Amino acid sequence: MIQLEYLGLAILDGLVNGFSIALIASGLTIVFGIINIVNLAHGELYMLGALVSWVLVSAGLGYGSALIVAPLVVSGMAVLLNMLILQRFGHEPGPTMLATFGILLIIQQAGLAILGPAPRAISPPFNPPVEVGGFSYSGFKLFIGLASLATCLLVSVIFDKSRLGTLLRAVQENRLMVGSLGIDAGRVIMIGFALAGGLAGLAGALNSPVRQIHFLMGFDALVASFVVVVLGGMGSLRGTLTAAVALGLLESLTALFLAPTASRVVSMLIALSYVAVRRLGQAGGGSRS
Amino acid sequence: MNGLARTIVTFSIPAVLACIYPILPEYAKFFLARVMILSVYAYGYAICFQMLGMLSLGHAALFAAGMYGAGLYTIYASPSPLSALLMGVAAALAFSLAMGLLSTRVGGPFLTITTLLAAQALYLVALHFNEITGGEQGIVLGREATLVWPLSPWLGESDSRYLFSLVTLVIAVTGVWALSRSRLGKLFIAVRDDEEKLESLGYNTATLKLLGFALSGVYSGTAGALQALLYSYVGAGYAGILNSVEPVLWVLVGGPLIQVGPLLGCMLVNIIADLARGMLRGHVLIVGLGLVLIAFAAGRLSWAYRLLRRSTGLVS
Repeated sequence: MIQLEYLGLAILDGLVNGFSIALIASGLTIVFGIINIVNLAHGELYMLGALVSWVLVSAGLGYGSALIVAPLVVSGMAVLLNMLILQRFGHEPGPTMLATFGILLIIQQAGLAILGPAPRAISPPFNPPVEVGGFSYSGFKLFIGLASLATCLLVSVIFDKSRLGTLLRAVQENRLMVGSLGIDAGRVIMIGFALAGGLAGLAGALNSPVRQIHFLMGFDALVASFVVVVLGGMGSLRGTLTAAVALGLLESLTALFLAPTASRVVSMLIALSYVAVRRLGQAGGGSRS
Repeated sequence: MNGLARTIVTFSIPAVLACIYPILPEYAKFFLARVMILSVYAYGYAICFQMLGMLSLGHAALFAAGMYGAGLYTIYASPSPLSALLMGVAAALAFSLAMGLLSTRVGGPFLTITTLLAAQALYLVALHFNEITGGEQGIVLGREATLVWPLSPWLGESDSRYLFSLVTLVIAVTGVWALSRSRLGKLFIAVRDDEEKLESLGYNTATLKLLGFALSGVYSGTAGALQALLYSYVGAGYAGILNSVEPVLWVLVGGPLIQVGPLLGCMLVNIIADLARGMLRGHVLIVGLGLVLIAFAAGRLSWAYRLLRRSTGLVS
């Protein structure tokens, strides 16, 4: 039953990829939700997560340290970017978007300087074959999928239930009002950036042993995240998770009979048609944000 | 500035470029010819961004459609440069209509996202069919397929390149100059400034935006086709995101006057990038730093601030 095995593997791969993309795209969604800007540098934060992991593992510090340090470092980077650059424009969409693109290129070049033009790789710290439904699957990939899913669900719960989540949503609804209630909106935005950076960094660290660590990997992640946030609705975490899983499954199933680039093109075309049909961002059409 | 002064300013740079030509050293000739081609692209981008207020991040695809349309035609159909030029422009027009139909119907950041996705799709398609397109490495076209070839008995390669670039630039500048004085140009600007009001006056703003996007595509495609036919090279790199974002920088650096700004900004950015090539890690870093700096400057430049605000805000 070789055919069935391929199908099963494709579905598992799709789920794992989907949860990983969801982890990356959640950060994009959170930042867009709070300040209504598209952070074009978000994919580069993911690349930084993988880069930091590669540096740590190459220095002999072990993969476990990467899982803790990479999210912290990248989270710090995101906060720093917000503090030094984006905050200066009062998060006005136009200049902020331009600046995030500039930052994208700068981080990419920094990545090139550190990693070099050739892709790097680190080996998974553990990788026992796991029996799933009658065939064996990579234990490490299973770990990536489960860790990503758990983190996404945790963030979603934080957003819905905690005081922090309430504050984040309040800043999104009405920044002026929040300010007049004596809450420092700037600090809430900062926390949003820290969270988004941490998630991207974690995704980078998690995926670093199974992907090529390359200075251009961030842009691919950004494109995938765009597809996801377009389909799932900007600013909705649950929509992001659902759309990411759908995207992961779609791409791994079409990859059974198409080249990977072709299956990515298919998913992009689906996202584009969806945008056009729903007329997103237009008065009276689709969702407003 | 009144109409006459504006006209004089508009054509002064191309006139200077024509006058200094005999005294230019070889490298400057090569460099300026390239910048003139890129300026045609800059003008095309300005029609979309500066006139209509649409912040596209997918124009590299329109440039690349022109480049591939012309380049692949000379490789696989016929090595006739003039029909290749037409093919390139036609390909860019077709692609800009398709992309415009998708993107101009959605608002604010979604236009930016969809144009980016559409351009990335074309880039991936070019990579996927790398046996035909040459992928990232690209293909070098035969000498007899270039526009320079028919002139070669009389003019050197760099001279005819300069000549072709200059003529195209003058046509492009004249086009934008005429557009900015025309009724259509004023309608474009009205779309940017108050789409709803224009709509309530009975204008079909969707058609206007699509028209502007297509016109922008023709300019970009012409530049792309000339890239292929003057420098005899096609490559997927031109469809990449960097080529989409550079014109944003050119337009913003160039200033508020659309007749001269794109040319001025394109020249300035490319000269700086060329000078700094030895000092820093090259072109990409300059563009990145330039974008951050211009974002800071936009707070002080009221026209840039307003333009960015209109092109990124959500319609509520």
